[in-house]
Amino acid sequence: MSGAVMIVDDSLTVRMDLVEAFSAEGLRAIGCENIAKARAVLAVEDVALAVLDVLLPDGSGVELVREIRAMPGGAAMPILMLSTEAEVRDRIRGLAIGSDDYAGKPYERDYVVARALELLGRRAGPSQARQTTVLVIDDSATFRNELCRALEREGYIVLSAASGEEGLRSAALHRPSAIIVDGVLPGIDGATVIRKLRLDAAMRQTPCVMLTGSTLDRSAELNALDAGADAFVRKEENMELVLARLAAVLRAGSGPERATPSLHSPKKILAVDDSETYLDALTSTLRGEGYDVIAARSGDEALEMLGAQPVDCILLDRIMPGLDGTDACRRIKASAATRDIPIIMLTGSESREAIIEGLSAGADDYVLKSSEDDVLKARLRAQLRRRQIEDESRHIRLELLRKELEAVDRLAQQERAHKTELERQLAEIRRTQEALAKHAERLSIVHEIDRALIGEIDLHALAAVVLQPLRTLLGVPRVVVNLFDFAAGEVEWLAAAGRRRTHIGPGVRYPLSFMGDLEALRRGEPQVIDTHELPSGPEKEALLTSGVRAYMAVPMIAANELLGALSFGGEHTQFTPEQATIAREVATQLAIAITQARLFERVKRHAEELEQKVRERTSELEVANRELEAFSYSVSHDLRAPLRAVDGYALMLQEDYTARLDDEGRRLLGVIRGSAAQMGRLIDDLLKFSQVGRKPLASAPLDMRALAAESIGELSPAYPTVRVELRELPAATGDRALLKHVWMNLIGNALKYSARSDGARIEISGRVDGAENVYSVRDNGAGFDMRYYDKLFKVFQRLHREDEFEGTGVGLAIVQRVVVRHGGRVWGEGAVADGACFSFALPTGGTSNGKP
Amino acid sequence: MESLEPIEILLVEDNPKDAEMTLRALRSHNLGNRVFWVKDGAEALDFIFCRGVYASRDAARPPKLVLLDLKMPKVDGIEVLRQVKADERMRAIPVVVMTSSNEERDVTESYRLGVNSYIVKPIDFAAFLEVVAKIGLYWVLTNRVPG
Repeated sequence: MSGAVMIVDDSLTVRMDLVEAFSAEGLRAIGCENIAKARAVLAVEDVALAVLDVLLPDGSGVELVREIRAMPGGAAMPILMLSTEAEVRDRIRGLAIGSDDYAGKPYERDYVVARALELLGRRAGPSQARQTTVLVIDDSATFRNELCRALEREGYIVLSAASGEEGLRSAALHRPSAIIVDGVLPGIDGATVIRKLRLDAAMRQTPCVMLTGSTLDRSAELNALDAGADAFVRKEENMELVLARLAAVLRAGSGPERATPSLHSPKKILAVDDSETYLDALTSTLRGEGYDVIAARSGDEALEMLGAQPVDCILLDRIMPGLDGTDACRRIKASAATRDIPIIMLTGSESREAIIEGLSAGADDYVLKSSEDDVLKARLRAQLRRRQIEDESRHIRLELLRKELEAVDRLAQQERAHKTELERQLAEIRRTQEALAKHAERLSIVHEIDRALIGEIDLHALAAVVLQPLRTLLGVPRVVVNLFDFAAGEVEWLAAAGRRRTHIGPGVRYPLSFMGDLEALRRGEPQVIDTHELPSGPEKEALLTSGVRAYMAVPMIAANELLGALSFGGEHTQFTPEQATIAREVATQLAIAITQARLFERVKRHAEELEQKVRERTSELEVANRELEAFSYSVSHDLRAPLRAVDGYALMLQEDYTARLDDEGRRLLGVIRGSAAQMGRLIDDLLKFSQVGRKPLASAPLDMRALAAESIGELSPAYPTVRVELRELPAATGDRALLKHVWMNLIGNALKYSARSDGARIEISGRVDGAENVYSVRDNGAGFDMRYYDKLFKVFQRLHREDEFEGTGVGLAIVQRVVVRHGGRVWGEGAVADGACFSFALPTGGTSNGKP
Repeated sequence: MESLEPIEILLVEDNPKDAEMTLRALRSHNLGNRVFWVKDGAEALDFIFCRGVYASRDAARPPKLVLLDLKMPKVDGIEVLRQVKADERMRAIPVVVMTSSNEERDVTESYRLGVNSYIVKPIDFAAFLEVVAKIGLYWVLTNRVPG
């Protein structure tokens, strides 16, 4: 603090006392005995604060206040008035002109210094930190302009509004330091404006001055105070008063401090009584107690005083002319600005009615005028203490409320932030969903191609299924699948889809150069071709006519072979990465499909060739088969007939000429007949053998034991020395006639080869072995040499000489053929002179094999 | 071999050696002089239906038995069998197919057409004789023909 404190008082004692007091606080103090001296100091010194006596030898301190306020920079200078003048009029005058506070004489030196320091400290703040903005709300343009000009002259930044609504918007936007609002406005009135401001956490501290109409309308005034106005000014009063009020409310400043003045400061007591004698006595008594007493002689005066400066307690005479104590009390309690000031009603009568009336009007206590001074003092102290405590608790409440409001604000802010975040996330989810839907569509098309790939081998059908959805997905007017014909240097349409129709199949050809850089395509790089840059020709014209200004060719590559390109185009020369990605996916699939289709085509052709060959072979076979049949037929007829004749005529010779033949002749005839018989057996076996191979199988369930028994019945009578044992045999499924042959052969062999042995015996048995039924015929006869096993089942191969055992060498071959045709197998075991065992196995499930 | 006696057995056989052996077999059982031998299917049909050179024959007295070879020039045995069995009047004549063929299709077709017996001529002449004799005796002497 660089400025000095100027003390203007004609009393040297006062000057010295205060200079000393301020100096003790580290402040430079300058004493002035009159106004002239003060003017001189003000002219040369940087005065930070002035303490003025009201009555000075060369004029009034109030005049000096006016001068200071008019000086450049003087408007903000704190001024403390020292006055013996307890008169309300004087005080109001001083305050109205611009003094900041009054200290009554006899002053208390510590209070004056503390108050001065307080004023100085407060001044150091906002007014220097930023310029003061004032919002003027008035529907009268004339008055508004006048007021605005006056305010601007004072250095305020002025905002103006013609209605309450506009004013509130402006206030919310600009946050003015103070608001002057007309009480009567179109739309919402001034009181409502103030009420709304008070409800707004951000603006409830903003000081408000209410302008009231020219007529003295008490209710409007009360309404304004009730709404929370800090001060009110009548419009008819001069502009200076308005400015002074504004300065006062601004000085009162904002912040919670306002509500709780220091505990240590002297309390301001407003004493109101129409009796001058009583008032004087009261004033002097209370001053003696160290209170700053302001005396008012009527209720009106008291209210006016309160409008200018708050007090700590009011002593109010009940009965006064004009506005009496009860009414004044009601007014004071009705105003938001003053309702907290304790009121002690002073009453001359002890009447119960009077006390009730006073209390019901809002008085906090009452004291009989006739009481001892001590009673009043005690009551006053109690009210002041109560006020103090109330202020503190209110302060705490306000603080709590403020914190609560801030918390609510923060919460709301968080909610807003949260909501914004939610909306952002929702938007993101929607975007993701859209992307997902798009992706799903993409997948579905690729899947469709996959499906078609499996189901449709025909390329054209595949193209028909895929192209239109692809065109829609890409969002282009045209999509074409081009196949490259490198030999011809041309491109041929496989299929094309346009807005209106789909072209399927070959026929459209154009130069290979239309697909851009072929080497780049081979590397898998899509080409973007501007139609205008194509060589002139009917193809270019056709493209331009159909609205294709540019197109992208995406290579179709499979197994490192460039097969063609998927091209799509439209009015724009730019293609999105998404379009390129989709086209690539589809092109890859199509390339595979084309390869598959071509492969399938090749396989089909190959299969057809094979089938043709099979048909040729089959017919060759059929021819051979027919020839074989014809051969068998002629063998059975043509060979048998002469053979029969040989035998027949030999017999006739034997019968008719036997007497003329000698033994040798008869022997020779015997040989002829024997040979004929053997040849007959050979022919029969051979025919049988060929029939076994050709005849279709007539499969049926068979009782194998019965079949074997039947064969034994036919064969064994010729071999009476052989004992035959037939055991249990599993049933079979097969061709009865053919399997009978098998039994006949095997049992016949066993009988034949064992007949000459002593104790000849054959045993026929069977068993189920897994998936096979095994049948065996065992004998204890001549047996065979296992070294020649290979020859056992071959046609015309014999292991015994004809003179040992007669036979054709076809029997076992027939056995093998039959068993194999039934899906079974046959084998033999044996040793020379130690018997043989022949077995065959048939599948238990019967034969599924109908072929040789 | 022309005889006033009614013909009881018609032998249809193109192979003269087989025919001689058959006749010998029938003769040995005293059936020889009632046998008429024709050498192919066409002649057999003319005989049975009293046509051509046999037009003068009395259709009311058909043979009591036809021994029919299958494999013959011109009209084969199967065709003869078909025509005989398709004719209302001749259907009742017993027809025995005697053939060298053991072919399944011949056997099946013969039975389908209504053959009375199917005999595979054995190579063994003695067996052959026995078969022929049995058939001749059965059909000519034992079997009763309606009408």
